[in-house]
Amino acid sequence: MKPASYLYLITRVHGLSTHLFSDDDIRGFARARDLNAFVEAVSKGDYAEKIGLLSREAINARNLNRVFSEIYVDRLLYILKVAPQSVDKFLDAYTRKVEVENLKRILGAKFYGLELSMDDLIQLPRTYSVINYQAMLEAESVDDAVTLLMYSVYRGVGNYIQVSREYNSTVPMEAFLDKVYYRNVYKFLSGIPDEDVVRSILGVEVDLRNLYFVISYKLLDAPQNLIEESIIRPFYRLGEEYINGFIRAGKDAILDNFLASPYGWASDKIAPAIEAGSIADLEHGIHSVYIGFLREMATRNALGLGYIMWYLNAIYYEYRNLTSIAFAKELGVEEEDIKLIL
Amino acid sequence: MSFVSGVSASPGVLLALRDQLNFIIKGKEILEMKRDRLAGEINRLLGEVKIRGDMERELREAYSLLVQVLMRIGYKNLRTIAKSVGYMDIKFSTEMVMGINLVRLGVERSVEYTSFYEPLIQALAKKLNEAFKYMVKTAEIENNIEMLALELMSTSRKVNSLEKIVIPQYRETIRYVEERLMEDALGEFVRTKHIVSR
Repeated sequence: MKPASYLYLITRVHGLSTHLFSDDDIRGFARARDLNAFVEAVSKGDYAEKIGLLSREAINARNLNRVFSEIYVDRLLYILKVAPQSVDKFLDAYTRKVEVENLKRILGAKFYGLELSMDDLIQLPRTYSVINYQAMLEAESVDDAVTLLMYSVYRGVGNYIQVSREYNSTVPMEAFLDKVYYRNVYKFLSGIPDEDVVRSILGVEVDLRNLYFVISYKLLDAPQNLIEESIIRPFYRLGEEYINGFIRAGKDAILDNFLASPYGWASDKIAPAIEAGSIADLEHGIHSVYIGFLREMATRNALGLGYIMWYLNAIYYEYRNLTSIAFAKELGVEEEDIKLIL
Repeated sequence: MSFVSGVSASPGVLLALRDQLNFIIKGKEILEMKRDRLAGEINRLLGEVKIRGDMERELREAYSLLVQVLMRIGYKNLRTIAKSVGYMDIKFSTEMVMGINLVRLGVERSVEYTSFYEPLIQALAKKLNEAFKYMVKTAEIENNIEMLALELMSTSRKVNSLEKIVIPQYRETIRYVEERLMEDALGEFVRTKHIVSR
């Protein structure tokens, strides 16, 4: 028997999921004749109030992106607010993607000695994070910025500054942040309800992410050591030997290696991108596979954490799709081209 | 002809005119050789200028990818990432060909696109990097064609002017001086004959 607070969360998420735009809505937005028509169509539900606050002159893709980002963060944090004790630590760890994203931006800028402001970051409430972004932005160097992470789970990132300097790349630092993120998520996984379902979702997420990085980096002729740095463990269906073999294999064997993976069944979405050498199509294909898997898990686990995991990803994809359409409308991209990336 | 009318007819002038004409003819031949060399060089570069098509294709692909990346990650994110793009070093030098300073451009250091974590950004940076290399090469070729074409025009005008105006004028003048000298010599001969017969 599941605790009442847990059932309340699931029921609440079912209610919240009705606020999400359907696939037909999104396709309808893509058909909008221009940005104003899109704004008119999207100004309903959760978005109505914040978009309504924008003056006519302020309506542009940048400001809409800010609004969509705020709604996304609000939705994300609301789940944490209503989460019962049994899953709150896990959900808190899972939503830390936005925190990691901000850290990547700050450390990347500091690494290259560039100016960045709070406006360049995802706006998060001060109570959500123990990290003082303002102080990090004001730090004189990446070393100083990293010392401000001393009391957070990301403190080990300082050990990767030297290797990042050797490669003249932020890949080791950013990959470390991702590794810490997943390590933390896995840490709070034990003992939560529907642990097996969540473990399989996380496993597939990490596997697909690893495949995306290995295939993309190989298509881009990235050095082997950087590909190795980018890999996140533990693997789920992929094996250590398989990944190592894939990293060492030649560029012409990418497709064969992918087809030999446990995800070879998704070749209709991935293989054309590999053959065309298109990272954009590959990214879209990987996301399609992942969201398809999440939908299936949500259907099978409609009264469990699988549904919440789907919701947390669905709000992210809605944010992403709306941002894509806003920029596409501003840039005058054709409807058919927009649909390709949704 | 004004050139002819101002010339005093004497054997010294005739010799000087013949020397000048020979010098001008040699000069014209050298200019013709330069003209042919310039035309050859332009022809060679015109073969290379088709790189502009490759450049435009690369730019179109880069723009299309830029739009896709912009649509995926948003302006703010892309702007932040773009701030960390390093500089590309272009080496500029000149090379003297037939008296013209031709430009030589070379990419000494490309953008380190593998430094980006997100593969999509790497792909965009790589595409823009390639497009920029094509732009540099196209700029070099087109600039050099323009310089060579200007010089070819100027050289052709000089050759034409020598061939159609200066050399015919000299030939006319020499013929005039020769005829005047011949008339003078004939008059002198008749006068001498007349004196001898008296």
